[in-house]
Amino acid sequence: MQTATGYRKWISFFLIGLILCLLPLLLSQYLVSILIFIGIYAIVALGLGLLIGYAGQLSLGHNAFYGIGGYTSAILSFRYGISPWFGILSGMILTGVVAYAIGKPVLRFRGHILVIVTTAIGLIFWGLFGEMDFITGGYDGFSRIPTLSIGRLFAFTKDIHYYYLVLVVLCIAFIIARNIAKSKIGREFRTVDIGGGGSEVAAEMLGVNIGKIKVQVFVLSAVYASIGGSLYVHYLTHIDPTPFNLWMGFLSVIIVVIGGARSLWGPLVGATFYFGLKELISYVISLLMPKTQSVIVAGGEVIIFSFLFVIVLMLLPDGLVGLPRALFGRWMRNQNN
Amino acid sequence: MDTQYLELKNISKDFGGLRAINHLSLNVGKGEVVCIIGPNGAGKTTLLNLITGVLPISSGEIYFKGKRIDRLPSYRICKLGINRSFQDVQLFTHMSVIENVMVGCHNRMRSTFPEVMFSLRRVNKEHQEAFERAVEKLSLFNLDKRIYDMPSNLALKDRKFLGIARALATEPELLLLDEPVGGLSVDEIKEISEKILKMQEEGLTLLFIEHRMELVRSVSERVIVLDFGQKLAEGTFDEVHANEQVINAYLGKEEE
Repeated sequence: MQTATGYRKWISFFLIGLILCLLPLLLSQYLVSILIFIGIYAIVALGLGLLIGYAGQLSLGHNAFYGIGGYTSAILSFRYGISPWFGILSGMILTGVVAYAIGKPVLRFRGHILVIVTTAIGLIFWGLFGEMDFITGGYDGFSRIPTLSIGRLFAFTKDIHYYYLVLVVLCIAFIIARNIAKSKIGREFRTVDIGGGGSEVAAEMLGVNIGKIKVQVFVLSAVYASIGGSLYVHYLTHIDPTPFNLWMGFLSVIIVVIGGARSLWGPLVGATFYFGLKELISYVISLLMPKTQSVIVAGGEVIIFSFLFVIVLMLLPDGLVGLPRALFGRWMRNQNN
Repeated sequence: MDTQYLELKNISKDFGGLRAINHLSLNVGKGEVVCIIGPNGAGKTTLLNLITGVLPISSGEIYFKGKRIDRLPSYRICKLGINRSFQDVQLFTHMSVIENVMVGCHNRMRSTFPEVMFSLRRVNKEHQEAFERAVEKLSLFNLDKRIYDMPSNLALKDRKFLGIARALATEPELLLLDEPVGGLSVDEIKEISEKILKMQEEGLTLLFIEHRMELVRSVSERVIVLDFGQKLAEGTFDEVHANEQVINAYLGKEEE
């Protein structure tokens, strides 16, 4: 029998789902495109959230996996006429293999090796995306990438259709992440989060193969990034190295941390916050300095979000999802006292 | 009794130029309760770390039920039936009491990654079984009413009990305890003594390190004394207690 809490949970999910379904019908096409980007970035951040928030492992080079997914799907569908769905699947497999090849030797070591290696990987792949112009189109990239479709029946050419597609993929990604987090695998991820209270020695003594579990979560997070990258290129129908640079790797981590690394809702909140604040800043600058708007927004983004990242780490370690408890928890404790 | 249940053959452990364990051989029989005592720095915890694969040995061999284990990683040693508690407990402080013990139950869970991703029926069934097993282990230590507490909210005695319950959740055949009563009162030591004797009655083999002689006297069938990484003496509690070398190296200093 469902408890009152169970009913409340289902009603909440239903209401949120209803709002998300109705939202694009009420907004302009521009805002719907922003929601699509929020969804795509949230998918990338969700995988990274499992890696950082649950397993306590940090990667600054997830732009590489975002790009491998995007380029694999784009190249297979544009140059070889292969179905974009198969391109997405191929991107996931290739990304998984690359992540495994990196993770297996590196994750045996403790300490900061993973951060350093993934940063280097992020730089290497961004360089490859630009330099291998015989296949990637170089720094100019290429366009006319096929959009996603269901056979000849239906093509996701309109923003509103693509929004619903990304929403479905995000929901599936979230459900899978939630199932993993609640399971024995999620518990094992948390046992190796030394900074968060885990203990690798104790975990291994309880039968946890810590090397294997770290590789599993690393590969999973890379595959999530790959899906995001593929969705991105099939939406824009254009690809070039710019969105897959090292800033994307840093930004993915910033989104996770600002949203809340230890909660699965954190990446969604973080992605929404990022795009929401970016649009707000862009709007304000367009009013104050319309001629230099794009330059200031591009450079300002790095400064502002890096600064916010540091502030959140110092003052709000649970991220924005922890803000209600941080603000009202003290008030409620005072009321009880 | 199978006296070669756990067998250490001439093992040594070096840390650079320091020899922490020096050509040590010892056996533990199935169903025995054996205690290792000795002054600080004698190599007791190092010995447990070598048996459980936390540290590699420098030379020698370790066998458990006739199988060589000294080259195996800890998670494989766990699956063979050896587990331990830690002197500093090493709980997962960000996980609740029940979650700590459920990690120990993972040994028996067979669901694969794809099954977990889609939360198939076997996953939920295994999860429920692991939850019930974990509660059962916690009930042995009267912690079943505190399953959702965080370890930081537990008293020292309960944190130590939690560490032992977690190790028991792996269903070991040989349990190693590293100073299970360090920092506890006389009444709490009595409580742990009773638990250890009950575990032995249920067929568990125990090897533990202790400084508190009340516990050593009340539960151990055999005592091994280590000093400078070597066996100084071995016998019953009374035999060891009367040994002059042991008194000079260890017990005598305690009585001062």
